[in-house]
Amino acid sequence: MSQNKITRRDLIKVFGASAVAATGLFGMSAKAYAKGANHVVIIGGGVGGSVCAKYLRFADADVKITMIEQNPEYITCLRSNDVMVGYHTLDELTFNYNTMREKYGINVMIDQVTGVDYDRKTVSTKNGEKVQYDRLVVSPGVDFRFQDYEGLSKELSDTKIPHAYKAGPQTLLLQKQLESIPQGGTAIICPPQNPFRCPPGPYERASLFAEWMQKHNPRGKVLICDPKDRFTKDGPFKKGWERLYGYGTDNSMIEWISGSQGGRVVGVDAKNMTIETDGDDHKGDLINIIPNQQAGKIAQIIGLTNHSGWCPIDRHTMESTLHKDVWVLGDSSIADAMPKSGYAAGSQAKVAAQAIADSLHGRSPGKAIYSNVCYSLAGENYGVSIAAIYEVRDGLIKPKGKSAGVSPITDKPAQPILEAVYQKNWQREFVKDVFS
Amino acid sequence: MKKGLLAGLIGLTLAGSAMAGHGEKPHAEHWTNATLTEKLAAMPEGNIANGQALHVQMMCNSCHGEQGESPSRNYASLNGQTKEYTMKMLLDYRDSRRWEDYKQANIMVKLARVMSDQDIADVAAFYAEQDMKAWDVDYTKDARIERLVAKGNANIMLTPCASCHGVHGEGNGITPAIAGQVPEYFVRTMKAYQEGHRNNDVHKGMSQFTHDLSDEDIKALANYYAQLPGGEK
Repeated sequence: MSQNKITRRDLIKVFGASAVAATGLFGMSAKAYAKGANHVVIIGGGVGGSVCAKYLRFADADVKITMIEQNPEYITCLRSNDVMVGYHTLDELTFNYNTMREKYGINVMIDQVTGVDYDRKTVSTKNGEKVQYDRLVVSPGVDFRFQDYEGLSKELSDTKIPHAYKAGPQTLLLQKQLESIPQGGTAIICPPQNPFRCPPGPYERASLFAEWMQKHNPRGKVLICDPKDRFTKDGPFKKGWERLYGYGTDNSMIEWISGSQGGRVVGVDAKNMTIETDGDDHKGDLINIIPNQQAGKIAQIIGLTNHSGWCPIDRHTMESTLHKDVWVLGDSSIADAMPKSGYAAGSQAKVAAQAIADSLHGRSPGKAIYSNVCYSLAGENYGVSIAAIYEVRDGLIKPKGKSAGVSPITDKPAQPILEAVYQKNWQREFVKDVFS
Repeated sequence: MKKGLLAGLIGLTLAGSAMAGHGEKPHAEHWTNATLTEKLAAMPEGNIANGQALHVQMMCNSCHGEQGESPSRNYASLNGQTKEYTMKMLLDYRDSRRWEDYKQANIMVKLARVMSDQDIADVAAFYAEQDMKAWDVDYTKDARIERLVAKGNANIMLTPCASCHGVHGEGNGITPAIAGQVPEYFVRTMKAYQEGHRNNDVHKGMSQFTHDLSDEDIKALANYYAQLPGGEK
């Protein structure tokens, strides 16, 4: 392909002449195919990138949108813990980009970005493409810091010590390892230091492992070695563990070693299946180290991160403070009080889509309002949740008023059961918002 | 938390997980008149005060209203329902006889699974004790529908509704009260019977009567019963 990358002819190739001729695409005008149309390029087809593409189409019918994603299909991390214990299949969590292409007129390129030339406003890819942009969106998720642990590597995570914190082959590997734990054996889960993707993820995983063991390995144990002294929703999670897994008793199926109790993992001996912590060494039949994290690799390569390893952004727009006309969404961004969750990424993507449309049309962006809702399971029928609305206050993203809250701990047995039902509904509607 | 319920909650996790996959309908034997009669006779005596406490504890009130009078079109009214019918429904949810397409019954299935027979008898006693409440719906006297209710329709072999559900729609034992029922819920229920999504009635005792009813009939019946006060308690 030559310089002006996505031509009308390319679009016809992708969508078929009739679709383009009739502009039968959802909310997309013929102007979007014109040579002079504004071009927004989105790097990353996860939740942030996909929601941004879709909502940018809502916000601007005339813009040309290209999304560059490495994989032809996306597997949601959301509910991937379920796969390990058989409540979902990986297939049910897998989405392709047909809707993006066919309904919203997004040009989806399956390719890997290798660099960005900010002066020429050009993205280069592994396949040798050079794609020009007017506005660039970067939503690359997280990168894992294997180097923080003696003896750990990416290669080891793919084979023996999976993190399973990006849904895919490692999810299935960890499932297999859970099933292979001998009777009375131990699963060790090592959550990362803050900040990290999906803050309740490791604790939900521990819960579902314990529930699975109740059925299949009743003398088995889940040991959580944590560098932290608190974790999200720890009140309702621990109450759930008490009720379901005997947490706090001698027979508890879950043991949690906090940071101040020496829970931080510093190294792993994969051969002897032992972890070294600030406290004791622990032997496990399954070792699930979820490494510390930083902004997705491409964000580091193209200079969007600061000393923290994450990407600073303008809180009202999600635009990078380091490079002009570049937006950073989701896990990679520094969004202060907002957790690194898919839901948060979607909310940020909507704000960014509007801000990008505003910037293309010379309008000044409004004040941002974000939201986050996360449901987790402490058991198949035991839900815990957290929710908040966020605003920008004193230059930081902070919960608005008294909007932030977690599941209350009550004596009503119906409450966690209902939250587990709501979790299913929430997940169904959320993925619909992203991929439908 | 009540001890029994907590035990039930833990039991639920185990029982629920014994199900293959998720959301699959577990096998449940259909009732016969004999097994149903036997089961209902074996149910414990309900305690109204405990039932009221459970109505709050199990958060029934959040959908079905303070006294069981549904505050919205989404959920059934339970006030003034016969205790036999409420018990049967909760047993049916608990044992997955009432599953429909599961999505709608989902919440009730999950909640009923942590309720003991005593819990079920208690809430049933509580709802049976509450007054029915007519809905303020748009109903102008419709001789055709009132004839259907009182006399039936010989042309389509339809027995009068009142012959089982009572002259005031007050129900009788296992036949539910339908006076004061949420009209949208009434319509959904009739359609579910008609289309076979709902099949927990003994020997198709109700669904057979829905086959030849038109949508218009169903809507008119829903409005008729919604505004009916249900008679004296």
